[in-house]
Amino acid sequence: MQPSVPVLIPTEFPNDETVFVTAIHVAAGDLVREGDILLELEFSKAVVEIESPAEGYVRLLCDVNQEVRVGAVVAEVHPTREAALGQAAAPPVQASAPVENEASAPVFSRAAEAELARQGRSPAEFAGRDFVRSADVVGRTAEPVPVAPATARPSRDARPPQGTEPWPMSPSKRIEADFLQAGQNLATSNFKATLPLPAAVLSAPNPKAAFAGLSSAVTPAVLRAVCGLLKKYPLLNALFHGQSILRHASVALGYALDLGKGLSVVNLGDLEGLENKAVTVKIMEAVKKYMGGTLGPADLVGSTFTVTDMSSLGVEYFVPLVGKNQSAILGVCAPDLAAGGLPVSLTFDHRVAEGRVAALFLNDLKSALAKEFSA
Amino acid sequence: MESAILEIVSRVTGTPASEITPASSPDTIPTWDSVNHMQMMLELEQAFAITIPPEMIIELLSVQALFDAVRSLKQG
Repeated sequence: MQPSVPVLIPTEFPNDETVFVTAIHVAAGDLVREGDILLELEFSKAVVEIESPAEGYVRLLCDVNQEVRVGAVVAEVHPTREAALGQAAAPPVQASAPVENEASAPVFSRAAEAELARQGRSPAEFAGRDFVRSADVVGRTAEPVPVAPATARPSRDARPPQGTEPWPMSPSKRIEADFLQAGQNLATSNFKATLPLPAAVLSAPNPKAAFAGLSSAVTPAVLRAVCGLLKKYPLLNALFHGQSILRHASVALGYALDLGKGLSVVNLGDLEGLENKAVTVKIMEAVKKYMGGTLGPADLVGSTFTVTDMSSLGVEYFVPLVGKNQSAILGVCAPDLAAGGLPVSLTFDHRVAEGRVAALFLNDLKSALAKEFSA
Repeated sequence: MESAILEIVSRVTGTPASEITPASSPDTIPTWDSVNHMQMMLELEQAFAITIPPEMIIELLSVQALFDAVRSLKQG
């Protein structure tokens, strides 16, 4: 008997431990070809389509809107339809990449976890399973499931305040909320500085257009200077992990894009030494992929510091939040044309860096841009 | 070809086609910003089945430049 081929949650996104299944494009028992799109997963910063690794018949091991751990098996492709629909799964083929959640650590859906807790049972009962749904838990219950009395009420803490109603949360927003709940951004400080602008922008007939135009030198100059200074100030190119400060071995600038299709932080790499035009080309490539919906894992992973640009939205000042696996983020505000400068906002993780480091970084950034714009 | 390009520029920037000339540019059309520029690039690629190289994208800062680029890429 030919073995089945497992469909795994990719592990390329180091920022994510779990993902949400946002869409399933096939039904159990469907015949698929290698490369056919089986389902969509929402990571914290991207939606990724999962292709079938082989031709065969699909057995689904997940549901839409379920949260699953990266590395988990979410489906199998079987050589026969009967095998795909059968109760006993064929032995999975050994994946070339390591599977983090092996049979000894099954993945439980949220509903299954809740059901387990409600029944007071152990997850160990499901050892050997890849994925456990609430129906699986209910199905293993020897006794009828007691129904909560109609008069049961949620605890005081679980009750929402009067006069409120639920607002839908996207899976990525839920992941972001979970991350923020963990509290990293409670340990941050925020500094404001005003960077110089080129005389060509300030004296233009339409300074705002000159600042934001495709041929503007401002954004490329800021990004290049930041990349250079992160090598001088490595604590702003680091992260707090466990009880330790870890320095990133290289600089990879993340550029936050939100043009109406959700927030994506695109890894532009190390821009130091590039010409302004080359930096603009990199940004345009990223914007084109963002708008075309073709940003992939390689575009989104591994950034070590983020620049988030709110200048086009006219934001006078804001406090950006430090991203996962980073220690600092620079927010770019709308140019203050009356004052002739560009306000920026640096948030940093105080467990990693101190105010002096942030202040020196901002002062050096001002000096670098003043030198470039006066040249 | 030129009328189709004018239609895309008009629709994406929200500018009446009658106000757009080959000399029109981000300097004369205030809504021709970087986001709308990229939207134009994507729509031109789809409409004419071409791929505009990224290094060319930032040079196409007038309607005449769009005419020339599309013509060149269609021939190429």
